[in-house]
Order: sequence, then structure tokens, then C-alpha cells
Amino acid sequence: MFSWLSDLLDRFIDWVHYRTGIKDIVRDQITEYRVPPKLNKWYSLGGLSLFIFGMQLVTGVLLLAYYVPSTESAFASIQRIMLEIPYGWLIRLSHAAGSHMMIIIILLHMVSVIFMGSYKKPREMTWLSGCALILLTLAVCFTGYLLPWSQLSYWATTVATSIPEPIPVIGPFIVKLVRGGDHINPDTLNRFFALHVIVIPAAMLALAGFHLFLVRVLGISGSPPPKTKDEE
Amino acid sequence: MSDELKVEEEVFSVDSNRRRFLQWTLGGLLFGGFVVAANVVLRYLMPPPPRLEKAGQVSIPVSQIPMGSSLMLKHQGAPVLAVHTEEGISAFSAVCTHLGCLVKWMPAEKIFYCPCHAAKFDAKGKVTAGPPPEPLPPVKFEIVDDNIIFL
Repeated sequence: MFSWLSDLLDRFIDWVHYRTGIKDIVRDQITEYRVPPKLNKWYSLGGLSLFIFGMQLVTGVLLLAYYVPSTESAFASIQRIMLEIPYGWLIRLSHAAGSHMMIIIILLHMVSVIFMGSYKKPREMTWLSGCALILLTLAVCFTGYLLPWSQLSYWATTVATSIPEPIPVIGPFIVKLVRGGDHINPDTLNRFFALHVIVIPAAMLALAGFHLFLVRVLGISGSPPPKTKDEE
Repeated sequence: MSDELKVEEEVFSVDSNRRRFLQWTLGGLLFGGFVVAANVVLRYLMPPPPRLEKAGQVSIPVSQIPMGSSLMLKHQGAPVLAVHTEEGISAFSAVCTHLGCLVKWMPAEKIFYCPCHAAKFDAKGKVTAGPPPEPLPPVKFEIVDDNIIFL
């Protein structure tokens, strides 16, 4: 019935394969990729956090279609998304729930890596890049929290940005640098917006690519083999 | 020899049927999910109808509000309360300026009463009791041919 369609698809794939070797990559990396035996759901958490990150990118771009990053109109634009735009509530709440889910999944991922000792040689760089990734995730959650410019986000950001203040000598300097002034002001919203929508996500994409590259180069760290009778 | 081959073929054909069934089921589910998601995204990105477009349509005959009664209606997506007193017809936003509950017209006392915090507004929308910081905003309207047209 659809044989002409699958013929056309085959010819297209062959055309791409001749120029990129895509079939070999798919075979080696996906369809015939070998994993250690006895993997369980704990091994899916890295991929799951990548999936949520992808969802955050999609919903985030959709929110950018209506969000206005200015102190005068930010809150009103959020209200418009929530109350007027069809499915706006779904997109925004998915974005908010996704940020919580991402933190939870990444923490569980870290727990499994620590518990199984998967961070040990030769996987130290994978572990360190993962640590940088969770810090970036927290940073992207933190900067996103200010964007609705509500009472909650204003005061939460006031409290959180005052954390470095007690550091001797450089503390007040750091606070002023983060806020772009002595208090949260319109400039703070602009810099948090820039960090939230491009700077941190771009860094996360690059770092997640490096993280995944290392996972593929070194292979998945499997569970240790069960003890034999001699060892017991 | 040929019997063995036959058995193998049968096993293979059963297997490939099951595989095709699973492939179509999985593909169908994925496609269905994709259609649902695409519907959400497209409707989200379609420009929503502007509020003012609906506004011109709100008109009610004067006879719907006899003397001493009130009428709650939706105008530009917001609740509006129209009342008819001895001084004529007037209309106000029905949203209490305190915390946004809907106010109610009390014909006996000729006040707007907010049930949430016992706020009272007089017939001109002015706060006479309770916590609201501002009077009820009036809603403009015209009376043309015994029809009240809200602007």
C-alpha cells in the first residue's frame, strides 16, 4: 500500500548515508548499541533529565511568544498567558513543573551515581561536568523565578541575592553585581532574562553534549558482578 | 528436512505478525501524541481574538432591568453589574476592589455588598464600609432605541 513511500524514504536515507554515514552511526549508537547486563530504571535518569531539558526548551520558546521582559508588562503578560491565550496555562505550568521535575530527577541521578561509585576513574570528568550541570540547572531555575515579576518572585530574589552579603570584603560587591544595583530593579529583570533564556541554556546544551560524549566514549558503568562463592 | 523448514517458517511468520502489530501500535500511539501536542501548540500560537471585538456585541434591552432590579452580565470578559434606581440606570464593574470577589446589588439598602469582607459601596460606587481601597469603576454605556449598549 505504502511501498512507494517506503521506497522513497529508503532512497532518501541512502542519499544521506552516502554523504554522512548516518546508517553506521545509528547502528553503532542506537540500534545495536551494547549496554552492560542488568541495567534498571536508575540508569534511565540521565536520559530522563535530558528529555525534561528538551521539554523546557520547547515550552520556554513557546512562552517567549507572549512574555514581555519589562517591569511594567511582565506580570500582565503572564496573566494574559494564563487567562487568555488558549492552552497558555498548560505551557506555563508545564514549564514550572518541569523545572521542579528536572531538579528531582537530577538529584536521583546523582544518588545512583554516588551509590554505585560510577564517578570513579576513568569517569571523573563525567562526574565533574555533571556537577557543573546541576549548578547550571539551579541557576536557570533561580533566574527564571524572577521573570513573572510578582511579589513572590521579587522577594524570593531579594532574599536569595542577599545570601553572599556576609562574605567578608567581596560580599557586598557580589550582591551589587548580581542585582545590577543596590536593590532589585528593572535592570535586574533584564539581566536575569538574558541569563535565563540564552546564556545558561546554551552553556547547559554544550556541557550536556560533553557529558553524553564522555558517557558514550567510556561506556555505561555497569553493576558490579555478583560475589562468587570463593569471595564469600 | 522439509518439515523442519516448515516449522521454522511458521514460527517466523507468527513472530513477524506480532512485531508488525507492536510497531503499528507504538507508531499509532506516538502519532496520536504528536497530533495532540501539535494541536496545543498551534492553538497557542494562533492569535487569540482581541477583547474589543467582543465588546460591541454586548447590548441588552432596557426592559430587562426594571426599576429596582439589577443584572449581572459579562462585558469584555469581565463581570459587570447594571442597576436601575430612581436616578436611572448605572453600571459598574462587579469586581470588589479589595480582593476581587463579586459584589451583589442589595435593592433594599441600595448598596453594592461584597460577601467576602462585608464591604459596602453606595449606588454611585463609592466605598461606604469595609476594606476596599478604591470605588467600584463605572462602566460606560449608551441607551439607543431602548437598548443599553456597553462601550
